[in-house]
Amino acid sequence: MILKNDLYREHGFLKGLFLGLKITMITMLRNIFGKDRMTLNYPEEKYFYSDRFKGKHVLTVKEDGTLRCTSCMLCATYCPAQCIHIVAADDSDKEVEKAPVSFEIELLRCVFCGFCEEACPVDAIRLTNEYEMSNHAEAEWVMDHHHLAFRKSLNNGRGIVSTVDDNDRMKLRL
Amino acid sequence: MSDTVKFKWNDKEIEAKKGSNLLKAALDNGIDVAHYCYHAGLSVAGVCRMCMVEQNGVPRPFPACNATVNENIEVRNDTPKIKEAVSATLQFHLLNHPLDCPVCDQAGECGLQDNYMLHGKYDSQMTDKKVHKEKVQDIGCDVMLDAERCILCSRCVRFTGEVTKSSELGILNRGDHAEITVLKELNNDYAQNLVDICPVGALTSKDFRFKQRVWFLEDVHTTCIGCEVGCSVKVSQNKNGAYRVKPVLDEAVNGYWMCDDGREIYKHVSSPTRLHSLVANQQSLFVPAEEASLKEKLKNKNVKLILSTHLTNEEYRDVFTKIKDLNLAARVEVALYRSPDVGPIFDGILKRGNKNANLKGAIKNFEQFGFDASDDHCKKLMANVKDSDAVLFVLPEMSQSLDHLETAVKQISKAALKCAITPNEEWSFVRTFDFLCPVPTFLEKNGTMLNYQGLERTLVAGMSYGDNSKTVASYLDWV
Amino acid sequence: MTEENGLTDKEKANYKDYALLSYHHIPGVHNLEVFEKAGGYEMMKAAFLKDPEAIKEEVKNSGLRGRGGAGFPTGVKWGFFTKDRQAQKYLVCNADESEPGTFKDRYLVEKNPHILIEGMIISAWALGIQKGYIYIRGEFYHQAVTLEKAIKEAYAKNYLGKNILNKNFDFDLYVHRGAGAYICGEETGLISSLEGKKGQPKLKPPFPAIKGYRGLPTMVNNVESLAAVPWIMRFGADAYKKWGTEKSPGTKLFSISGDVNKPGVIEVPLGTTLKEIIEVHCGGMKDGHALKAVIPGGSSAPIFDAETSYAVKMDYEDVAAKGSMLGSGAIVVINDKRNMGDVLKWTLEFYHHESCGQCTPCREGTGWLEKVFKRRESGKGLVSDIDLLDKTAASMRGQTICALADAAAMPTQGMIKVFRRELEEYVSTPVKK
Repeated sequence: MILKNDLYREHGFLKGLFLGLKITMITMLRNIFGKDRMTLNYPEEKYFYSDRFKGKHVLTVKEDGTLRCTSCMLCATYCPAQCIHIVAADDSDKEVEKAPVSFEIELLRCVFCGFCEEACPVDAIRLTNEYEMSNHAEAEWVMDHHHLAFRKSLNNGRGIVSTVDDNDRMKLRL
Repeated sequence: MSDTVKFKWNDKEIEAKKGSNLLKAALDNGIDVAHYCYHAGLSVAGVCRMCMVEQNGVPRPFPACNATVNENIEVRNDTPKIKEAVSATLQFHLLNHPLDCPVCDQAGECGLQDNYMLHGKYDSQMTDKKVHKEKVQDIGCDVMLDAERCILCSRCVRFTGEVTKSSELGILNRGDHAEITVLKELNNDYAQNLVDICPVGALTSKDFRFKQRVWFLEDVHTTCIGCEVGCSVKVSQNKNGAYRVKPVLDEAVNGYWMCDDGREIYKHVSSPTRLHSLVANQQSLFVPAEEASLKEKLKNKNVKLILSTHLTNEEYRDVFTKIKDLNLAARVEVALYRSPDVGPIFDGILKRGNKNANLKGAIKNFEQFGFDASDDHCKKLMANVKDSDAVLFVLPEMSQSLDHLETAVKQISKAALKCAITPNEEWSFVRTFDFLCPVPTFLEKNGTMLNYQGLERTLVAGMSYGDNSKTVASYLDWV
Repeated sequence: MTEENGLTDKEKANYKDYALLSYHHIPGVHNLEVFEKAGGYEMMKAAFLKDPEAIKEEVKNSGLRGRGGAGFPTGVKWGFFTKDRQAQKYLVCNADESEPGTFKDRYLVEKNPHILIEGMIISAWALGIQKGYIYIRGEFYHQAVTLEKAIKEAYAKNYLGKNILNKNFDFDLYVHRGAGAYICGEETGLISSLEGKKGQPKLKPPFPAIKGYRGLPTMVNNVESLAAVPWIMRFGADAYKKWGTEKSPGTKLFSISGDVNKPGVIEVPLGTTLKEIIEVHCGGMKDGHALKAVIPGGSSAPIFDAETSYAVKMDYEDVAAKGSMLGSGAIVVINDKRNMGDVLKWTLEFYHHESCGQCTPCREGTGWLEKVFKRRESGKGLVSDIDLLDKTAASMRGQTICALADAAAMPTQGMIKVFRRELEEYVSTPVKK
């Protein structure tokens, strides 16, 4: 598709071509030799996505270190891939009442749509900016709640604390 | 009928009995009226104030549950005044209601949720401290009470006062500190109905607690096989199993309620003890077996066939027709095993002592085909088991008299070949048997039964949880 | 000292000025002999010679209106009652008097219990009732003791009990004490309490006159209404109508409290101006402070500002026309040193505490009205809270089993209508600790 007809009419085919590709050429040279290099030398140089990126899931924890998730199963309901499996149970703390005994996400089924993050009423599940998830075919592709909440990359295994729901819960305690 | 009158509700013409409850007439005709405290099986309380209506000629709005049907009255609940009143009253209900939806089992079938989506949808202005009451109380009979979620509709108080007459529940304190409490603990045979009638998550079933979300379940409307009443029930299930049993209104048989014994009938349907193939007893362990191995053992043997009372009328007919068609009458003797009575013949409310669900249907079919269904005949047959016999014992799907059943099983253990036709490997004494032959449970077959009144009760098939089940009649092909 | 019939002024009843407080100046009139000497029980004895229907007609013609607060014509209420004299039925005197600001029934009964007993016997004869109860609030211990003593005296003289005065009429009267609930002043709440159940109001219909105490016809009347019956019997309906106005005939007991020099109970004809009551009968405003507001009929009545207070006549119609209600006739006078916010705060606290909790709008609404109004205590009060109070109060009205929700909502809305600016300032000012 020739976008700039007047260039070719004025200067002829070859010259018009190079004039039209001027910006493209400059960018290409910049990329090869200059500062704006797009290519990263992964794994020595890594790209960091923003916090909004929909990567690996994390289950947040409360300030006392227990899972924030109340196993309401809204994420499991909303998930279009039906890859979240939760088993709920009573929690020893009466104020908390319900907590997951097992929370599993089948990573291979997940489409990283972020619906679970949207559906959660208490900010218990988030999609982080972790994108490194490759593994072998024989490996277990099911993430349990230990991995989801307490893997090394999350505050060194302590988990990410969320206080979004605390106001509502604190209202109950007052 | 002379006492049926016509009246109008929101311009829709309705026919109802003169003097009957106005709200019930509207609900029975499919009109959506928001209500909490009204229940057709209980007395009128009129405390939730949601069912307010306006009537031609009556100066003020009034609750429909406290009014009666009269000829040619014109009732409306779609005026702006009523709509605003309903929304305001709903707001009052939700004022001190805790934010428990994520942890509450009632989510998905909650009266407050449903009415909020229909009539509420307002922005809450309640930024003050809510009133707190005691949560997570185990009050006995597998019922959990959460006093904070309670909207004080008093249905449970009226139930224990009027239906079971045991009055275990009451309301303490006044004003917004009023809360439902139990005197000591629930102690009656119908306590799980409290979970059904509670419109919110204040009374929940401990048995069902946290097992599933309601929107993952589908209901199958079938009949309970716990005793000879045959109450209409619905079993909630999904592909992972059956989870609970609830009663369905049936004016002729069980009204609005069912007894607590019937709540257990789902357990064996999806239990891990379900058989998935024919299994053979190898040193008290049951391992999958080839059909051929049983077929050759059964061929040409004298068979003593003991049927249970949990089979449908169609299944009895098929068994007897098969015996006739295959000319097995000479080799096959049939008897009917009855579970003994448990408790009084009738407890005054619903439950009956005779736990044989399809006894009447069995007797009818036995007699129709010329077989003896009496208990004496069964006892004689079991006593006369010879070691050259093969015994096919159709075990009842569940039993409240396991000792009696175990004694019967031990009695026939003389036989050389003993096969139990049962859906589960449930009880320890099934180790007496050489083979276990899988059959579908009551929830997995269509059919009819006759209850103690002689009324026909229908079984509807839901999802299947056992593999390789065959009907009882088809096992006779191997004889 | 004039003497008539051998009695001094001090021993004779004053029927000319008072219908209810006729005997109150007589020392020791709680004793039956003193009461009788002054003229008491004469009308009771006379009533037995009259046709019961004639008595009912007389009361109806007098235009006597229920003095407990509703103002429903007593004679008309009696007319709805069953005429079957053999049927089992009850007469209940509502002496629960819990409306804040009201103390007239107590004043009447503690000095002169016999006038109530006389009124009840006449009413029972007229209605053909065999059993009566005086439901008196639990806090009135001394008044209950006084009443019981008076009843004992009446029994001793066969004015109560079997075959009264050989007229083949039985009437048993009992005193039943309450236990501290405002809601037991509501007639069906009273009946529930009398039945031994929780004092929670019942749904109406059915009305107590058809299905009341124990499911039987029950006539519930206020102390003042019943105590007025002997005077009406003595002087007739026309004489009673000479007092008061056309639609509000007769006299009323007003209990005045607040910032006046002489608070207390007075009996004046209906239609007397509030100005006269305050300035003449109560000796004017205390310490000369200006009048700011008056609550004309107990805490459930919407408040009047100073201008309306000086213009209003105390009868059912004029008070209603000016946006309030006469109610129990409890007048609370408020001077300009008082903070209207505090007045509303105590009112809301009262209704929250007294709600029985049966129906949702009242149970949750009364609690929330108090909470919203008290947001200022944690520094979170906003001017928009006043609008919220107004709207919430409006949505509580007409929705409930009994009128407690209306009784909580009306003063809230009334106060906001008259003193909005002061309330807005009150809620948005943080509380100094």
